[in-house]
This record gives sequence, structure tokens and C-alpha cells, in this order.
Amino acid sequence: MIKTRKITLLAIIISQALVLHYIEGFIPVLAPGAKLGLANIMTMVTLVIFGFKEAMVVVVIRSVLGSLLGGSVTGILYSLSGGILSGLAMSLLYLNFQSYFSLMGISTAGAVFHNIGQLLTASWIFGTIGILYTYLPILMLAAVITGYFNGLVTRYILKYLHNKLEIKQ
Amino acid sequence: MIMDKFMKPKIGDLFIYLFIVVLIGLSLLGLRTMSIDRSNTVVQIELDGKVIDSYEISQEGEIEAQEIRVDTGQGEYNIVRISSEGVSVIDANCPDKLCVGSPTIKVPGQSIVCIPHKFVVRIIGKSQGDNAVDDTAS
Repeated sequence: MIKTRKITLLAIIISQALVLHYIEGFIPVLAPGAKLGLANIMTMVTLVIFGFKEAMVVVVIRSVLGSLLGGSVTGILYSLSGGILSGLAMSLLYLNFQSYFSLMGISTAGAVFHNIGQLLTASWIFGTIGILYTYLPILMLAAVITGYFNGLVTRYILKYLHNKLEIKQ
Repeated sequence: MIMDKFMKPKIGDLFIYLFIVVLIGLSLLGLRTMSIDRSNTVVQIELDGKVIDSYEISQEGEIEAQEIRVDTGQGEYNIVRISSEGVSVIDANCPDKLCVGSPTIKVPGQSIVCIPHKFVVRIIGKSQGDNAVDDTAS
């Protein structure tokens, strides 16, 4: 892919991720602390189209800018820790064990590790590991549902982009 | 069609769900052990910004439920209940009764506040000393 084209595409993906990151704050979710994790869709799309490095770039830029857009400064810590951990997990699964996992599975794993990363940060900030135990079960259940949904969305986006972008695989 | 290979659930997905089940199990286990190990938890009652009373919760196993009546001056009172389920305010004669309606608190860092009586009951972790919890939105 030509460099200019790549930069432009990444910029578009990041801005889409940012918008998703921002608007999902307005969507009420049943469990406290649970989120839809819509921005994860764009991370996965980047991971499939470009690869590991670009996916992490999208995650980091989206987390920092997203927290500046609508949130507190400590929000950056939560976003970054969750985003990076889930990015690493998804990259590992997608790049090394692609034939064993579906996109839904990879997305679910991403959601799980996003929650783990955030809860570890919260435990560290609050100075008690109790937060991890208390919130993990409910967030894990939420991750199964949102992860599957995000995986489905990613699949359909990729299906469409595949025709439009001539992605070579 | 390259994307077809992602269409169906695959065998690896099972491992992810298994992993989730194990994590839930572990955290529930952790929750159990945590509720027994309350060795460094203190329930603190504050009035008008000053700590007037604190109760260490260090017993193994079940805590004997106790109800504490706190007189907050001029016939005003709040009754705090400390038990295995946590700490709650079960009765008060403040006008808004928001403290009575507050949910039961369990984890260090949580608190129940009664603004009309300038009354706060909070759970603090002893090791932390002063509870410097930053109010962060998650």
C-alpha cells in the first residue's frame, strides 16, 4: 500500500475510533463500569488490514485523544492500560493463532483483557485488590456479549472493505 | 472470499470462554477469601469533619451484627449497622433520609454521608492511612 494512502486510511480509522469512543459514553449500560467497547472494532480492523504496529498506534492515539475529548486525566491511564493489554492479546491471537480463533473469539479476548487492564490500574490507583474481585465477574459476562457483537461488526466491515480496498492477504 | 474463514466460531473460541469461566471462578473465590480477611479494615464515623468513633473489623468469619446509635446533637441521631453484609445506616431523623436510603457499603473507600447532620461513615483500609481515594470516573 502506498505510504500516503496508508497514512490517510489510518487517520480515518483513528477518527472513527475516536467518535465511537466518544459516543459510547452516552449509551447506558446495565452494569457499572461496563462499556460497549465500540472503539475496539476499529482496532481489530487495523489489526487485520495493517498489522500489529499500526493497531497499537491506533489504540494509543485513540486512548489519549479520547480521554482528552470527554473524560478526566486519570481516564487516560484506564484507557491506555486497557487498550494496550487488549491490543497485545488480540495481536497475539490474530497473528499467531489465526486458524484457531474466529474474529468473535479474538474480539471477546480483547474485551476480557481490556477489563483486566483497567481493573488492575484501578486496583493500583485505589490501593486495594478488592476492586478486581468485585467487578471482574460482571465485567467478564459483559465482555462475552460485547465482544461477540464487536467481532460480528468487524467481520462485516472487513467484508465490505475487502472489496473496496483490495486488501492483500 | 478471504473473510469466510472468520465466519464460523472456531475451536479456540471455546478456550476463551473457558478462560472467562475460570477468571469468574477465581474472582468469586478471591471475593470469599477477601470477605474473611478483613484484618486491616476500619469503619470510621465522622461528625462535622472530626473522627468521633472507629470500629476495627478484624474478626475471623462472621461479624457479630452491631447497631450503633450516633447522637449528632440537638436530638438528632443516625443509627449505623455493622454486620457481615457490610455497613449501612438503618435509621436517622434527618429531613431527607438519604443516608438511610444509601446502599450498604463493603469495600475500603466507600462511604455513606448524611449532609443535614454533617455525618459520615466510611470504610478505610488501615494500611493506607488516610484514605486518599481520587474520585475517578470509570
